[in-house]
Amino acid sequence: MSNSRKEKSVLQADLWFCLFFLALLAVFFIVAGGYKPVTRRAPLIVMIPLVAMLLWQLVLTVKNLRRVSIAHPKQSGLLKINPQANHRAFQIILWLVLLLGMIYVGGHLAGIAVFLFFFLRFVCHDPWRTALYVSAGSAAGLYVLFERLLMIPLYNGAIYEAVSAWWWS
Amino acid sequence: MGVLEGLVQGLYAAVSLQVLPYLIGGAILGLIIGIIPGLSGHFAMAMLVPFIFRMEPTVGITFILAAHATVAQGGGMTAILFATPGTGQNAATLLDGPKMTEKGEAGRAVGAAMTACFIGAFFGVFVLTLLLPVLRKVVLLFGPPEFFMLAILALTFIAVLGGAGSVNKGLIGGALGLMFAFVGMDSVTGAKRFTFGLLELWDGLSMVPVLLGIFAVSEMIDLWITGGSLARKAADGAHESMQKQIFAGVMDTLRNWWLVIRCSAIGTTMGLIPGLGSAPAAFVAYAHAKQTSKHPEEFGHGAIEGVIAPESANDAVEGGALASTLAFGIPGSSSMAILISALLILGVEPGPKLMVMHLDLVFLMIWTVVLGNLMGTILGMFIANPLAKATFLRGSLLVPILLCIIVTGAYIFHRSWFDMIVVLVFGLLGYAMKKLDYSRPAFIIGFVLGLMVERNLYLSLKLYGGKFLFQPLALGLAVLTILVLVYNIVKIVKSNRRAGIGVK
Amino acid sequence: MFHYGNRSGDRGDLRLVLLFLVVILMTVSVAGFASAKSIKDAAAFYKGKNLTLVVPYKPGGGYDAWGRLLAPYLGKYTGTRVIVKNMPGAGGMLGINEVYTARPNGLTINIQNAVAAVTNQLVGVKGVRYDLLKYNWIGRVTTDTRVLAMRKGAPVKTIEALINSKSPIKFGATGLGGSTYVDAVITKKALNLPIEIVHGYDSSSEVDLGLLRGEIDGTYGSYSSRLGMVKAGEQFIILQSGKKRAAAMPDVPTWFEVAPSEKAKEILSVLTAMHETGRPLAAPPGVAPERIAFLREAFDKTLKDPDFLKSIKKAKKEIDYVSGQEMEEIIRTSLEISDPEIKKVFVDAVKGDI
Repeated sequence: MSNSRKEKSVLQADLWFCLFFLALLAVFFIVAGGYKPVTRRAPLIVMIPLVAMLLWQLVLTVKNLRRVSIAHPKQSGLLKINPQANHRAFQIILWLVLLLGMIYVGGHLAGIAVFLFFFLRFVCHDPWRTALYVSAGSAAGLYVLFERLLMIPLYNGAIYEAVSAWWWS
Repeated sequence: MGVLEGLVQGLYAAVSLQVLPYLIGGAILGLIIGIIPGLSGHFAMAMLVPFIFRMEPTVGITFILAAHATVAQGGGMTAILFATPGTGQNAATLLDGPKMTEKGEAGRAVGAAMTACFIGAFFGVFVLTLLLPVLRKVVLLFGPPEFFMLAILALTFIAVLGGAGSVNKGLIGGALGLMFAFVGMDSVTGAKRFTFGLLELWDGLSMVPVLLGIFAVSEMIDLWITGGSLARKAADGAHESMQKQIFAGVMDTLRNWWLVIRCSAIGTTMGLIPGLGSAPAAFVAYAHAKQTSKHPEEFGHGAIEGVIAPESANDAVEGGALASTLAFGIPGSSSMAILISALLILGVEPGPKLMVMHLDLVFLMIWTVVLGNLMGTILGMFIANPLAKATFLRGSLLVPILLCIIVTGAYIFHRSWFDMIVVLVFGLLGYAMKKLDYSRPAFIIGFVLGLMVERNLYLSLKLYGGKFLFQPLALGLAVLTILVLVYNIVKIVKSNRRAGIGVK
Repeated sequence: MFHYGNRSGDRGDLRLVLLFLVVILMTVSVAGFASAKSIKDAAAFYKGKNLTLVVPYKPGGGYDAWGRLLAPYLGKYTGTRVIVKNMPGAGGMLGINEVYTARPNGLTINIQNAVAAVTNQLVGVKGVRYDLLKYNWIGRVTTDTRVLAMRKGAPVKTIEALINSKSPIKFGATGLGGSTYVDAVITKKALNLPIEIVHGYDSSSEVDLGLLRGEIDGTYGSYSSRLGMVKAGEQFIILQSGKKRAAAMPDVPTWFEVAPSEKAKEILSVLTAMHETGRPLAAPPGVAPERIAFLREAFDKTLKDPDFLKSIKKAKKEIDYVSGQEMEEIIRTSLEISDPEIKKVFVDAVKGDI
């Protein structure tokens, strides 16, 4: 990725960043309107300069974008720049969400073991054995460390909770 | 009991056969707890308190204090090697530590960090002991107006020097952090702010998940997207020379002794002030090191001073907190609060009386911190080698494993589901901030100090009216803040102009 | 008695009587069957299991300390392994909510800041998902005597001087709706105290620091929390709660002694009733009665255990025992404020509108 392309994609990302937070702050402003004066005083003291700074950043970014566009009019936008990177970004976020889901369902130990196994096998294309060893090993390690050594109960998973509710009632 | 006598008695007790095993055991435990992301000194204390009920007071206190002492060292190692702060105190080490690992200098960083920790702790505890009579007056000088200005000063300092792309971005980072701090129950009016109906947000966002998200998860995401491993340059012979590297790191710290002392002083002072916590101290020390360095542009890219500074400060903080806790019976930090209740349960009463009646116990505690740190340093250097080898593993293997550990660590703090979601969300934010050059240090400081800023503002206004800024110390701090801001802006503008770059 | 006259009526009467007897018989046998589940059955149920004691505060605090002091003895008398589970949040309410909706098998109990729980329920704070009247009370561990403490160099040295002070005296308090705040506000109203309440301090330690610095002159607190500072000579107590003077403070007047009117005494009674709730142990609603009885018995034994009392003394704590049954009564009293005007005073106080 040439420098100007990189710069452009970064600038565009910056643009979106500022816009996102400006939108979020707008929501906060509206909510804060309903608060008592003392409650909203401190947040307002922070929010108003923040909005000013974000706007300033926005202006600078747009200026720079224009400069880069003029210099290299043919460069395409952010999302088209680096499909490989985007793909990986999407991948990791998806898998993180899946991780949370698995932990929710099966609890930390099972969820993490399952997650690691599938992740290593299907995303990293590791051989079965590696995936198995790593996931089993990690789960075992976590178990020893948390449940035995530190005596902190880890979340047991929705399945376990439902079963034990029925069992103990 | 005279000071010298107490000193000797304390040392004697610390190395006695009865106590020493617990001191070592506690130190090891603390190291492990520090290494696990999400578990902090506070946690170590809380977890170990139930065990000490059946012990003798001296043994019990030594045990938990030793554990508490080494947590920051463990955390420093993970921060350097895995870009994951073991605790909040090590967040500042993330700025340069991982970069050094990337360059293949992990051993050097670890050696330097461990040594800096030890010297910092030593400084904090001993110098403070000497200043004990004067301490009281010093602590009492700081009230709400001073706390407020100090927080603002810390925030400005870090926003400016925290390695953001520009001062504006640095300040934006800090302001965003402040904003997120306001989510939750407002201590002044009890109103629930920005909670959007979620009971989990009543107490606001917890620091640990936010910290782990902003710094650790973001690094993992970055590592995943760019590929490779934590140690980019698998320098040949790097494995064997790990010991040499560690030794070199130790030498680095000793060579920078003046920096270490200054940063320890910063840490100790901030530890004296209740409620500030060690994370701000580490960052302030970092910013100070950058400010006074001959080559500031190296900071953020693997400068050894960037590791030495925060690590000396964060251990010194606990020394300061311990001193003010023992001297006044007022806990300097949350872990100190636990210490006080543990002491009470064991039948020991902290406060001015403690100094008079149980000076040997006080010195036992002091020696425990020192020896515990020493133990941690030595052990740390042994563990560093195998741990560092892990950094050479490929990212695609390490990232999922670390993510699992980080997510678990986030859960443990409050045993809350919601915290895991928080980690992820802030991981995304942290990644965005990293790529776009917004200051994450400023963010975390704003987040940590946000409520303190508000509370003290309110108290200052209530107690002194609008004129609170004219209290001598507060005024001085305000002036200092403005000076720092102006000085740095001018410096940046000048250097930009020199390089002919447009204002960014 | 059943005079209905004709013959068919008599047979009808007989059938009615028989039906009546059958119903009574069935009821008695069912009841007998139910009460056959005795405390022994409960003991068998609990043996070897884990009993979770929820502490609605962070580790290291007072409630946590109590939980950990109680745990081994509760375990001894219930035959279980007691696990202390910290569930801090929402000012202690999270732990109370959570246990209220926990599985009612009797294996989860909590220790509560009942004063806060009562005030929150009374005021109708959003987020209260419990009803203290439905909680199963196991017993009360202790209460806190509330005291008004002034700093060493304060301009007033007695409560009378405070009441008659011409200039307002600054008082420190932590959070709005917290006990230091509510006590200050209520007594200010009841006793006409010329105080200005500065709340917002993060914790009682910061209040102590403020007192040391002289930026505030007085504060409310529990006797046990003020003791350290009093012993160190930094603070002194000028007022205490309760109907009669505590043995440890024979020279300090109580609220009631300086109340200027009947109305004031009424307000203070309500406040005192609230503080009577103290720190109790409770189990969720719906737990089988024999298990509650069993837990109450274990609790009673714990609070009488000499080793337990020794460990309490070492920790410089005191118990103020009240049984589960009495606790029910205390809770009921504290939630009943018949006078709407007085109730308004409390609601406003907790909300911070005063």
